[in-house]
Amino acid sequence: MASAQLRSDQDSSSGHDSATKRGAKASSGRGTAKQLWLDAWADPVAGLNAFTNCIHTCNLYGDGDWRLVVADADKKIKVWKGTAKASEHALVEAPVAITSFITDSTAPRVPTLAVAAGPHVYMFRSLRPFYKFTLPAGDVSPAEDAVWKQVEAGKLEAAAAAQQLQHLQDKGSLQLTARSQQLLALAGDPQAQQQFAADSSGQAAAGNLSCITCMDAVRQAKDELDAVSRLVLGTEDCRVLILNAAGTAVDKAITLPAVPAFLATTGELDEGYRITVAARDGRLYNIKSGALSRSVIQLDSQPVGVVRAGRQIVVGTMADALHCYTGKGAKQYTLYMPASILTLQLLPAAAARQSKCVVVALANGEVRVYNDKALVSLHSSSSPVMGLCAGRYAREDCSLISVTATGALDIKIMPRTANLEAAAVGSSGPPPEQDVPLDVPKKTRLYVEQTQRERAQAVDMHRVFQRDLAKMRLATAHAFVKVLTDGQEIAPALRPSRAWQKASAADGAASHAAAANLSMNVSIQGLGPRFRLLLNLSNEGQELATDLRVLVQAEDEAMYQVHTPHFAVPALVPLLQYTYKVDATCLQPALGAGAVRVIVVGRAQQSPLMTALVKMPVSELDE
Amino acid sequence: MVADVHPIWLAQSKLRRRRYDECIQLCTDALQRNPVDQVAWYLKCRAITLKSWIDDTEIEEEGVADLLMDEHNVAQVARPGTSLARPMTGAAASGQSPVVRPMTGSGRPLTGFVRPGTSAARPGTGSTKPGTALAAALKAARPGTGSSSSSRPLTTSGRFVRLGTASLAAAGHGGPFIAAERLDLRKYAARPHLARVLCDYILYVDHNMQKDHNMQKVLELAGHATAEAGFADWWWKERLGKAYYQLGLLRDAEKQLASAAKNQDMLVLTHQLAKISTRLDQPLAALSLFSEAAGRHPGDIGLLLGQARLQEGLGNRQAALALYHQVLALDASNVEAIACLAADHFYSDQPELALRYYRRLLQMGVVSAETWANLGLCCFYAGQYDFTFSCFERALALAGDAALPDIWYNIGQVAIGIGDLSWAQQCFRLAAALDPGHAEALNNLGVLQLKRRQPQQAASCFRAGMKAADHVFELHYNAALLAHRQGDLQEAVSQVKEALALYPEHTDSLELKKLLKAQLNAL
Repeated sequence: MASAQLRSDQDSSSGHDSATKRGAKASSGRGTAKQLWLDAWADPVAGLNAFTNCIHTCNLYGDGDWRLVVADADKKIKVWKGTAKASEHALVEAPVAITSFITDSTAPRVPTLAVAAGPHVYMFRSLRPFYKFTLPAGDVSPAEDAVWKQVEAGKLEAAAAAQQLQHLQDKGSLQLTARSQQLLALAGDPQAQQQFAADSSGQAAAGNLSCITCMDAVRQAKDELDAVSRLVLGTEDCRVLILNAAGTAVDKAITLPAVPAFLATTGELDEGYRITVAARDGRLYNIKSGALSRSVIQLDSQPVGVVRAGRQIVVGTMADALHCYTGKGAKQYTLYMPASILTLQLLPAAAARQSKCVVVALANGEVRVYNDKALVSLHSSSSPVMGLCAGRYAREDCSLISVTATGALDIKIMPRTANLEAAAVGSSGPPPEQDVPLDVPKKTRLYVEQTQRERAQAVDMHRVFQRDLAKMRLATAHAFVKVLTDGQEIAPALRPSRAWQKASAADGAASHAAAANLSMNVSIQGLGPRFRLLLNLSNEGQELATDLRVLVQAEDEAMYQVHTPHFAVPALVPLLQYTYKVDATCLQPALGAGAVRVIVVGRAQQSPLMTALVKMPVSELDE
Repeated sequence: MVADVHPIWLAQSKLRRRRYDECIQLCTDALQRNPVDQVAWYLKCRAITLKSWIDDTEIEEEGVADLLMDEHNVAQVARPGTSLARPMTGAAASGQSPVVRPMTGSGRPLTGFVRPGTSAARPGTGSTKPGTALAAALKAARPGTGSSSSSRPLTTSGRFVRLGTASLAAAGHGGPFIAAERLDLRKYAARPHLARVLCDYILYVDHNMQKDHNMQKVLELAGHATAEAGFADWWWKERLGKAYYQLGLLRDAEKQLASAAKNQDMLVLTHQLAKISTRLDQPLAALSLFSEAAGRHPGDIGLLLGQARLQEGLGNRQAALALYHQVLALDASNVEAIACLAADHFYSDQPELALRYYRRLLQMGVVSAETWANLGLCCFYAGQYDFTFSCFERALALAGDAALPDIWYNIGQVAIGIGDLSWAQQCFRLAAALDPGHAEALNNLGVLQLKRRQPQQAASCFRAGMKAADHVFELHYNAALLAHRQGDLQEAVSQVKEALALYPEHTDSLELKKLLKAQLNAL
């Protein structure tokens, strides 16, 4: 018979308020989010390593057959045509982003493919290298320049130079060049620093080269599929650059307070355009007609992607939330996702010019499509989707290309009859679980009888209960005092000691839980007659306990010989465990088992801090 | 008067009346007079065997040796509901959540009846965390916490562990009665009656000496005998199966027993086959064995109980309850069924029904500290306050070292129920002092310390509890909550993960994890 154990109480008054959640709670179980997509083609072993920025579809040769172009992290451009990989082209550097733009309105309008890598944008036309745009070099601060000149002249060791640069950076007033930052990153390895200083001696002439962090294209005048467009770049030195029509020079530069991480564009350069920039400080900045708008949106967490769906800005954050803002910065709604958002992408719907649909890929493998607040489609992929691209592919107007964490490539197409309207999905009422009653057992007849008895004999019951209660409290107190004072413990005990700094005597039973306390755990090794006692002492308090002595005595001296009957413990640091070994020999194994008492005393203390009675196991006979 | 009776006849009578020692004495005398007296030899052999007979159809504790030598690791990650190591959880199990019904050290809901293997982790079946099983097996035998009073873990195989085992010394003065290795087994195999008693003697008595050697002797003897019987005698095949089982050759044992079952449909064969299936962690196979046999032998309690235990182990609470009800309908005084039903009613918020079952146990003479403590709890929760503490008093008076910590723990629960927190703290402290591995008491102690605004002490209680046992998810949750309040988010996250590993559906832990995640993501 096991005794019924109850362990019901937890700290239910847990002081945390759940985070205030505004907006709708997105639940996958609700509504009828049916599968929207048709499977077109998939290659589970494509071996791709590319995020959303590096996947693009475009009318590469101007023949109306849209190709998929992926700038893979292994420094290759991979091109797919239909259901086959068409070609691969090597890149010099690891790509950051890929897009395409159309330089002039002369027919045929063949787009220029732009691949951003490091400080350069490599432009291709019909997949032939065409032009390399390099970010304009910034100025190098004189102090930094002086340091590097000294290094190049051989007057300064690289390590010393790194120190000086660190000093400059710590002042906080200037942004160091990439070269200086690379040198600082090698801190702690003087040889590598020296090597780097020698290798990078040519870079000084180039000045302060920044890096591209994100890239997009914005149309010049007309909102058409093959309208003339220009490149927009975000750079590591906190700028957003709009290039000229040929992509050979910077037309306009806007400086932001932080490094841009994601770009989303809408509108036309001539008619009025908006660029929304998600920056690394967790804010959204808006650029409106060439100037930084004053309304800044502060996010709850770092952004993982931003799109402009019509007039709205939809941003996914690391707090698993999809926020929607108006262009002016007023929050519309928030959807909470069941898992982390990995990436999101705008779904350009052919029918509606101003698409509001957003595709969101989650860490649990789900890919969801939201039209405004309504979940209109949901499908799962076996591995989380890392990169998404939605747009024309081959001759399909709307297809979804996804690259998963395992490197698989999956292409789905949307049927032309698909209805993305929120109304088609069904209303969002209360969840069906609400109507399921809880399984509460019925009250039995016995229970009713017992309550009647309780009602009839309330006074007697109360009197008996109070008397028994007092008796039981007394019994508890007796047992408690016995354990506390006599150290009569049945097993090797682990219990906090009584007052370390002795509390007032009137404190009684409660005084054992004073500021500092020790705990001891004794275990026994060996089969006998030679045993080893392992004393695990730890200081559970916050202050250092010093100058302790431990005495180990056999209850019956004739029974056990303790080899180190006492030893000193100089100090016990809080929360560390100290193990001491004490050997004991059973002198008379035939007589059964006895007990050994372990006592911990502090210096200048009247009574022991802690005692434990260790019941020894029965010893084997000595052979 | 006794002198008048023929000693052999008297010995026979003593054997029937289970006065084995006297029977052995008489036979020894007879054998001294005539060492080749087959009748006396037969009777003595039988008496000694019966003296140390154990019912080996019950599943038994597995020792460290079994664990280390186990080559029968079947599936490490079995599907829920197909393995005793992974009982069904949550809604699928229709069971009670660990919040309501506490778990045992092996991570299963507490049952009403202690059987071998219910309290400790099952070593052979691969616990959820690899490597913990061995540690648990070693831990169970720590002085003071386990039932064994030696510091030695259960090293030899747990089979045939008999508490207060009959000593062999009585078997004969100067040397064992039968030296199996010197016998010509082929000769004995030809004499079926003698061969049977000899076989049982080697199986049940001699095993203490050189087990494996003797089991080989049994195999040899039974092999000859079964050949002699034309491979059609179920008894010899069953003994072969037993011997293979003792040697740990489970598949061979299964083959022999299945073959025996073809010769003769016996209950004992079903039990043994089911035991092997359970050992191999194939509870569903064992269940189907039992239910098939129950179809052939309607009204057999053993078969029903076997099924009920397996269903309980798998987490099918409703199925197990129905089976226990069937058992009670057949045998109204079955202690195991009553106790399990009582425990279930108690944990499903019907203490008044549990009270009735426990009273029935008491009327049947099952008077133990645990029964009284359970009665006390039931009285308290059913509102019969005037009987509560008298029950606990009796429990305390009856309790031995092993039960005392749990009784103090339960009194502490009652103290919390009436709102006397300092008394509750004393009770929990007592429980923790009497059993340093009482993680539940340490957990509750920690919560009370928290209420008294002593977070340091609370944290140390939780730490001590976690060191003592790893099956209490509340410890981890409370530690996480405390760490969260103190701003130690890292610690909070790791603790809440531990709590969720133990009880994946715990709502509070999930909430806390979500909150922590939000805080860590926030800017």
